[in-house]
Amino acid sequence: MKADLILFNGKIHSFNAETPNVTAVAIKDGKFIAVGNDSNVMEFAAEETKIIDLQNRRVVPGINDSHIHLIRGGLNYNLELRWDGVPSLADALRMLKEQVDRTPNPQWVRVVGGWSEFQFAERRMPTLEEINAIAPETPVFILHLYDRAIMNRAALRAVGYTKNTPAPPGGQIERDSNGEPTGLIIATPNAMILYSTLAKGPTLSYEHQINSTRHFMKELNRFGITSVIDAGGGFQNFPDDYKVVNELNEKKQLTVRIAYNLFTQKPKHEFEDFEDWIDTVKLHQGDDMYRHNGAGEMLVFSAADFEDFLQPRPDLPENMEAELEKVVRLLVENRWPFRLHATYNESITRFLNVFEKINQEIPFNGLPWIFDHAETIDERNIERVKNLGGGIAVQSRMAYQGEYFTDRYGAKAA
Amino acid sequence: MEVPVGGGSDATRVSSYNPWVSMYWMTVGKTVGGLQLYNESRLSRETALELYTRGSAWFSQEQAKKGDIRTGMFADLVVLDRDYFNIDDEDIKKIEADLTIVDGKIVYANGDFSSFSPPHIPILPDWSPTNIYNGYPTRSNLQSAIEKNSKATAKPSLTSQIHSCSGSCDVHAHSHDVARMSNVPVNNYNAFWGALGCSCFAF
Ligand SMILES: [Zn+2]
Ligand SMILES: [Zn+2]
Ligand SMILES: [Zn+2]
Repeated sequence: MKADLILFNGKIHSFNAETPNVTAVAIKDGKFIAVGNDSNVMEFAAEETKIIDLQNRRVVPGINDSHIHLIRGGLNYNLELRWDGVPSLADALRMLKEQVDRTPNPQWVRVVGGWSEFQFAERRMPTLEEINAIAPETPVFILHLYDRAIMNRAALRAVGYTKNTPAPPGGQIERDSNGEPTGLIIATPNAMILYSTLAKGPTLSYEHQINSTRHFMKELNRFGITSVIDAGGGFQNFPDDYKVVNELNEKKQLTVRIAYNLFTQKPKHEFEDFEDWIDTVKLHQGDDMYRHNGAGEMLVFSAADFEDFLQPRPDLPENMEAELEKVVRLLVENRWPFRLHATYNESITRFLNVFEKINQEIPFNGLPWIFDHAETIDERNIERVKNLGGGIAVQSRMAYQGEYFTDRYGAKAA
Repeated sequence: MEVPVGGGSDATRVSSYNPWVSMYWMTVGKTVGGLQLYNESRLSRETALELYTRGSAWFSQEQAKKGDIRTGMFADLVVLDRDYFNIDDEDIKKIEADLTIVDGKIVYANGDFSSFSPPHIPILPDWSPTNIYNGYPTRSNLQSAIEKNSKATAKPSLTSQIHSCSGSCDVHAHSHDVARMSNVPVNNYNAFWGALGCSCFAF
């Protein structure tokens, strides 16, 4: 067998105990056909084999992000100014000003997460005065973590928020002494107000969404990501909002492998969504680049904990167990893997009660299922997850919010 | 305990998608602002990498197909611009790929390997912020942002300031005050995480 591609002279990290420190790999038809030292692997070389000298560099397996919102992120990537890693607010505001200057009407400038004021030397967020001065005409929408969005007056005009606009439940529109919106909108604690306001902005055309998704994948490739599992997302409708990624797969233009979970968009009618998908979507349909992966991370809205640090932790409603049971029973009966957003140990205890009850009647029997986040899970519940064959997907959100919390607790402790 | 665990970011609306920032967090226990939040539960670099490769593969039931460099598995790998296993903690979050291969094809190449790069795709629309800043601000897009910016706006470059600020410098030292002066109840995980919470699914 002759290789399409050989990489040699590398420091290749493999988890395989038999080949912990190899230097070369041979690849054919998208698979490794040999992993070993330079001389073994070179035996797979033919005249047409492409051969690359790795120059003794470190090589690791492709990175796989098991919880990301790539599909939605890709549709918006080219629209968003990113402040990730920008070291000062002065830099961030200069970037904002430059982007405002080149953004045509009626487009907005939006900064949607990925930053916190604690990365800035000034250790503060921009003020409403600052963004109004920078952008008198162009709508500016800046999302801060889960808790607030800072909008300039042009953005308030674009979304039509006035003195008479009521805030949705769990959300707040900050008002001045005349009752006019100031531009600050706050999750108290329901983040719906933030995302529904963002959703009022213009989107990219389909062609530009294709382009945007390709550039987002390239950006992920820049950090070594080769696979992801997409956790769905609010306002991310199946199959409409999956057309772009589907077309890219058909054209063989995906550069990241995507497994996707289906996320219900219908509060109180979640069961109908899943019933419909079980009828119309074949489990694991697709191919090795783009593949269905079951249900979640939203299974029923009553099981979703909308907390942020400004608010006490609300208990999940009493009807949660009954609603969750109905949906999970359906999924288990149809052998659909599922994932569930679960932050607090208190919620996890209740979710596990539901799963164990179902398991008594319809054994999970190796059906893979996932808790997402699970940041406060205790040992006992980890044992229960293990007994039911579940897995836990962890993320690094605290790396972005830690100081916020610390400032709050530090002050309290003092 | 052998519960499967997968690494991830929950990007893009709160966290960044940069996996090396996550691995820095898992192995060093510091926030992006430099605050030390935990110490005892730091993972080894190998374990953090394993969560983000082999660990994650379980979550789509593809653990036999991907997550390792092994005969018969998908030819997905990354050549790093620096050696993850032999660099200082602070350098972990600066890691980028110099060569990324998916399904046996080169999808990204930079630095010493840039001659293997796939053709550039123009960024649309032309006013897109991506056209100037092109993603997470680190080494590889810095220079081009500086050049594009000076062409586009004929103003002093903001990225030159970003550049002078990457690495250990006065800017990052500021954050240590917060760590010194605070009393994080890291043993009370309930309060610790619970105070922050999450609603990522919401969008
Ligand atoms: Zn979630
Ligand atoms: Zn700095
Ligand atoms: Zn999520």
